[in-house]
Amino acid sequence: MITKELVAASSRPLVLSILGEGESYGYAIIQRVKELSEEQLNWTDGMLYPVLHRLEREGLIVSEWRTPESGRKRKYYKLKAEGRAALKVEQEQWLQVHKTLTKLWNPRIRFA
Amino acid sequence: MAPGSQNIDEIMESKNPFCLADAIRDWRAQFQSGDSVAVYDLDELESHLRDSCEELVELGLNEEEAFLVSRKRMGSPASLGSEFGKLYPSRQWSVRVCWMLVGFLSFHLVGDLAGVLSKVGGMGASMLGLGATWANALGVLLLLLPWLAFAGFLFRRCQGGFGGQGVPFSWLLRQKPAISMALVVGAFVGLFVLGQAITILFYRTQTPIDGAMLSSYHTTQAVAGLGLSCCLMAGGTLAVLRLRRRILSGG
Repeated sequence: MITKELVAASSRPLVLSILGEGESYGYAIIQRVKELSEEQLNWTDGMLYPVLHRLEREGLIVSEWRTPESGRKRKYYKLKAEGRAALKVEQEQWLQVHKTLTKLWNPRIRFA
Repeated sequence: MAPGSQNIDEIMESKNPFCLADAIRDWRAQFQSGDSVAVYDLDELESHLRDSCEELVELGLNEEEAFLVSRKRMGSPASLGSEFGKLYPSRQWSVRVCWMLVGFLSFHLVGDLAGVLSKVGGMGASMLGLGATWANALGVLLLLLPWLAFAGFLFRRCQGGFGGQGVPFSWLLRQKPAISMALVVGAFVGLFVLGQAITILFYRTQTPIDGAMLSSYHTTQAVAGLGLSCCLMAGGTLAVLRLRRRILSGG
């Protein structure tokens, strides 16, 4: 089980990446995270929404209330161009952290 | 009645059919006390809760179980409220300012009301030809009445009466700030004018002015008022602390 701090820190790149796959709404985003992390990343469902609202206020995503033909009214979020740029920065940073840790934990790579 | 029979009653009561709409309404009401989560954010959270419930029902849970699990997964209203509050500090501040205004206004209002009642009582007593002692006694008694009513009101509200724990009229301040500000200013001006009018009327009735009676009456009223204010401040602080603890514990 991943710690609370790491869950919080990774929420931003995760949401941006999932929205990078296409527009989505809160419940579907949570389901996607559960599925991808094989239930290792456990979010308190409601905590996703402050993250989404913050990203929207930063101008990285836009939201829209919509009612699909079969289903109830939901708020859909879409990545903006600024969001794509922010996602790229996030990717670089997380890969850098990942690379550093991998070098430390896998000596064969370090001496390669 | 056998000791066990009350238990049986309680068990039978809990078997009332579960109503999802009612459960969701109660759940939404828990967020109202914090005021950090706006109505449209609550709509979004509710939509999530319903999605979650539907999926759990498909997995074989009954509606009540599905609701309980979904509510648990959503997180407590208190912690969600504080997360939303960090995002929208102005909302939290508007709530704090609301409480300050409501507190200040109600103390002012009750204090003025007590003063007016006390003066009218004193006036009535002297018009009826009662002596200074009786006028004083009646004045102090009438000074006490509005504060007792106010204390009773606060006590009931702490127990969830009179519209629960949210800031009274906070929706008005959010939706119609100009109107609510006008109401606040109007209330102050109105109270001031009323207080002055009653005082002038009081002196007019004292013909010829009984100086000794007036000064004795005003001194008694001032001392009693000061004592009452001290007690009420202490009581009010305790009540607010208790309310705050309840809100923070999400109860």
